[in-house]
Amino acid sequence: MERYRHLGIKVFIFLLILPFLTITDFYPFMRFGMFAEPIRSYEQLETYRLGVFKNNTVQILDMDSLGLSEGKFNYLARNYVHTHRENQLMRTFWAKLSVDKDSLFLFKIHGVPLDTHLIVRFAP
Amino acid sequence: MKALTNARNWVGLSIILIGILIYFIFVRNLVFMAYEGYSPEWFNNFIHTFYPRFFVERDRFSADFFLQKTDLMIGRISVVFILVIFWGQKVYDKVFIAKDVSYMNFKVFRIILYGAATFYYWDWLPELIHLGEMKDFYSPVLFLSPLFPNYPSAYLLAVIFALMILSNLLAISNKQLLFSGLCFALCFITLEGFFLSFHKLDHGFATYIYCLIIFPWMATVKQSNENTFSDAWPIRLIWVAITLSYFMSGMEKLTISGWHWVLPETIQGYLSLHHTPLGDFVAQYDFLCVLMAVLGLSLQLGFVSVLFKPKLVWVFVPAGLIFHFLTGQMFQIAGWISPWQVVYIFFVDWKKVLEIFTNKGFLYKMINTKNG
Repeated sequence: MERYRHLGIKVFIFLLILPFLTITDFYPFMRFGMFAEPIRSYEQLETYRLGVFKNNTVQILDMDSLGLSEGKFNYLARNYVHTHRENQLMRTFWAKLSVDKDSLFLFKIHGVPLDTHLIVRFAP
Repeated sequence: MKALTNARNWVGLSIILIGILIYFIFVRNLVFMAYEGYSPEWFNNFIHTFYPRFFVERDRFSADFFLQKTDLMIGRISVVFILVIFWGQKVYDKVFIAKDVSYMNFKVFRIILYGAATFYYWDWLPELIHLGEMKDFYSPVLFLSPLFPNYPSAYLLAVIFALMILSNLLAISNKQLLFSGLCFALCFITLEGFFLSFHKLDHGFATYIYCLIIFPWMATVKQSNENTFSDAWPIRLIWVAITLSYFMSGMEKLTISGWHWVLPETIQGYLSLHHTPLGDFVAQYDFLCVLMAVLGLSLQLGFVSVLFKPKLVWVFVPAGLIFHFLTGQMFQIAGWISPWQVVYIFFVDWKKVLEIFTNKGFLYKMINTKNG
C-alpha cells in the first residue's frame, strides 16, 4: 500500500511539472508562463472588436452581453483570423446577433503605438 | 557521491544524450517543416492534439520563435531528467518527511477550502448556460474532449452543477470525504473546463484545483490519537504543489527572458497594457518597477524553501498575500479573494492562531470539538 502511495505522489508531481517541461498546458495541470515573455514580444499583442454597422454608424458590441468576456473574444478572434477563417467567425456572429444590422465589422487593435485596422466587413 | 557511482544513473544519462541527438538530427527539422506547412500527417496530428495553438501562432511568429521554444523544451526536459535520476529520490525523501496535522487544523482546512468554493461557483450555472449560446466556438480542452466533444446541454450542466453542490456539502461536513471530495473536484474541474474551452486558458484556479484533488486523500490517513493525524502526506503534497507552482512560474521568466526580465521596461510594458491607477503610478518610477520585479521573482523562486525550512512560511505567506493583492490591483486580475491566496490556509497552524487570538474562547472550543 505504502509503495502505491509513493508511486501516486510521484505521478502527481510528474503531472505538475509536465506543462513546464513541454511548455504546454494540460488542464487541470497548468503552465505558468504569464508575464514571462520579454516585452518586445508584446509588440505583437492584438485585441479585437466586433462592430455592428447600421445607418452609417458602427456600434462596438459588448461581448459580456453575448456570454463571452472581452478576453475570451480576443483569443477567439485571434484564433480565427490567424487561421484565415475570419469569414466563418463573422458568419456565426451574424446568425447569433438578433439586432438589426447592415453588416458586421471586425477590427484589430495592435502595434506600437496602438493602431486600429479593419480586418473584415461582413454581410452575407 | 552514491548517485554518481550508480550504473543505472549513467544508463539514464546515456538515454538523455541519445534523445538530444535524435532531436537535433530529426525532430528539429520536423518542427521547421510543420512551420513551413509540409510536415508528415502524423506529426501534424500530434501538434493538433497537444499544441493546437501552433497553427494560430505560426501566422504571428517566425520559425525561429518555435525552434527556440522546442530547444528550450528539450533543455528543460534534459536538465530535469538528469536532476531526477541523480538526486530525485534524495530530494523526495527529504521533502516527504512525515508530518503530524492536528484534527483542528484538518477541520479548518476543510471548512475554508470547500466553503470558499461556494463563493467561486455560485453563479456558474447561468453563466455556462449563457455561454452555450456561443457553442459554435467550443473547442474542448484535452481533459474534456473524450467525454464532451460537444458543448453540453443546459440540462446536463444543471445535473453536474447539482452534483457539485451535493458533493461540496458532503465534503464540507466530512461525510465520505474521499468519495465526496474527489467527486466535487471532478465536477469543479469539469465545469471550469467548459469556461476554458473557448480558446482561452486561465490559471486562476490552478493551485486551488491541485488542493481539491489532493485534500480528499486525508480520509485515508490514520489518526494516531483522537486529535492528531500522523504522517499527513496529503498536506505535505499540497505544500509541494503550491510551492512548485510558484517555482515554475519564476523559472518560466528566467528561462524565457533571462535576467533582463527585472529591467524596468518589462513591468512598465505590462502595466501599460492594463492602465490601473496603482499601475500607472508605479510605471512612472524605474526603481519601483525593478523593486517589484525583483521581489516578485524572489517570492516565486524562494517559496519552495519552506519545504526545507518550515519557519520561512512566516516570510513567504504574508509576502505572497501582498504579492497577489498588488498584482490584482496593478493588472486587474483576480478578485479580492484570489484562489491563490485561499490555499495559503494550508501553511498556517490554525490551532496556534486560534489559541493566540481567541484565548481558547468559544470559537476555539467549537472548532476543536471532534464531531464534524
